[in-house]
Amino acid sequence: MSKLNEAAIHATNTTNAQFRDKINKLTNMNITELINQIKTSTLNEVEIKKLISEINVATDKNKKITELIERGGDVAKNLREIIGKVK
Amino acid sequence: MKNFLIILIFAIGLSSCATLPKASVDLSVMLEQQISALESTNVEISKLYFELKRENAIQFLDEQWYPCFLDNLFQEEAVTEHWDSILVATNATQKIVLIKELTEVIQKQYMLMRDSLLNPLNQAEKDWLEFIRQEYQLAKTMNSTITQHVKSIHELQGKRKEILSKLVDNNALQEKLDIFISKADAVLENVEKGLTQYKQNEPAINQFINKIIK
Repeated sequence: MSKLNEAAIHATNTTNAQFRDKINKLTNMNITELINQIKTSTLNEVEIKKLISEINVATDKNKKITELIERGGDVAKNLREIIGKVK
Repeated sequence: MKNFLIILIFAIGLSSCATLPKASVDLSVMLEQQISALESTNVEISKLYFELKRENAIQFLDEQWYPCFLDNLFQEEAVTEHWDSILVATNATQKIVLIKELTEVIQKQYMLMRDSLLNPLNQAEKDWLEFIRQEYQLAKTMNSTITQHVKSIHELQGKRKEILSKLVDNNALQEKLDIFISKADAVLENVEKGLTQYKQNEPAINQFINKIIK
């Protein structure tokens, strides 16, 4: 059986040598190369994350101001009544 | 209380810098849906492409590699000896055992070759899908950040309008503004009429001025 196995491995190697170019063409996808090419033309992830954190700070600020205005709604109503009375 | 009012007025002032239509928020949300749809399409097309590559590899294996491998295999001395053993074997059971040994060896090589063709394609597909997933995720995170920000500005504007309507009678203010604009329009109309009349009579006026100067 081992002799048979050795013979089969040898036959495989011989066949692969005969089809080397074809096999390379079928299996070599150059995906890593393609990904690296795309990465050089797309946006810098670190820079994007920095921008995102800056925007998030501004968003939080807007939310806090909105909450503040919500809480101040009744005060504003009272203020208007007082102004009306003064007039 | 005084401090609170100052903060409140400051907050209203801050939020009144620009106007942001609701459509901006809607558009931003729609963009997120569009990105997701494009991602799904891209993933599906990529999967189809790799499936096609796998089919091509299997077709090559079955139609070209395998027949050639068998030719090469039967040129090996150990295989021809084994084949002769099959032919000379008198016992049927022994023949079957020998044939089984040969087919197992052939099948093993076929499967190894199949793996060596498909594994690089499977790995490439995995890497590619992971890459596009990360890129789309980044785009979605960017858009989501913008959506949240735009939404926060829109909400802030809404609250500002709401509170201003409590402080000022918007209807009365609008009415006064309309009257003012109408008056301004009437004045501008008179000025325009005056200018037109002047242009029409300009030669006569110039002639009259010249007579006075002389």
